[in-house]
Amino acid sequence: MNTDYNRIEKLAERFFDGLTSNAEEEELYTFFRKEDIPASLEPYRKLFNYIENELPVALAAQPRTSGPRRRLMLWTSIAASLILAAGATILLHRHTDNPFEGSYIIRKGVRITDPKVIRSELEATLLQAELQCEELESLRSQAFEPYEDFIRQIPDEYTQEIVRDFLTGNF
Amino acid sequence: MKAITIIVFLAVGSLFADLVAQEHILSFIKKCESIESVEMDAIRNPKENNVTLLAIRFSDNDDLLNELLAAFKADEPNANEIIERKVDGKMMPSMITFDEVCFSVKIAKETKTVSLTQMNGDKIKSKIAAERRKHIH
Repeated sequence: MNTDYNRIEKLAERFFDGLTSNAEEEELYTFFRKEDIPASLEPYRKLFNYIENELPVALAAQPRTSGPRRRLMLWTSIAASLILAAGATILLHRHTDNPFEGSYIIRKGVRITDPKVIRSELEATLLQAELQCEELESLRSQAFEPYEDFIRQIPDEYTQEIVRDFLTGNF
Repeated sequence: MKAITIIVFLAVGSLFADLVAQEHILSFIKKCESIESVEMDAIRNPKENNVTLLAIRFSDNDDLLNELLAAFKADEPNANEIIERKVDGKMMPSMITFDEVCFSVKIAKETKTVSLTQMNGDKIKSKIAAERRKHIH
């Protein structure tokens, strides 16, 4: 039984990463229709029930509007689903009560491990790190721009990767 | 017996290779732990007992900044990739990547705050893999 629940948790993570097949999503919907599920998975029930039952109805019920407005509404619905998914992801990682267990901050030479104190600081640090990464990845792709036209002319992707590795000195 | 000894030495050597590759930057970070004016945040993975992300911040300290830049320069020959940016007419490192770890530096001109972030393992791999996938499509 524990294995089944572990599988469901793993499927849920894959769902939020956009990696699940239709069959796997069906498996998730079927599971969350059950009455009796572990408390740790209970936070997901509402989300998956919404995505299975209410979201398609909500999308179908929207009047067809012209071009840009329709696109805006579609993106708004997608954004709302993603926010729900993100919230459920946070709930999943919070079910251990301390997602930053073992982490610490140092302020004025004092090491602080109290989760209540460090949580918001570490969340901000994580966000800054992600933003820095994004910025640098964008710089990196800009550096590749002059070569990309040439690389795209190479017929197979494997050789394209080799050329990119060569250009970055990873060859 | 001789072959086994050589294999063991090679295996141990390769384990330490990545640590040695960034020894100057790691020494700088170690030094910062005991400096009161430096803030440090460490996110650890308790299951694997390692640090997945380490962030250091200090402000208005040109000496420390110069030490950091010197450490980057010293470890450069061992890096897989270096991204630099022009800041106030000088080329400054923004990111330096080794096999299993990368360091990024951001300098805020207005507040003169320097942020050094160390990211280990999957975090950078997934980022770099995601970037690669973007290029493929």
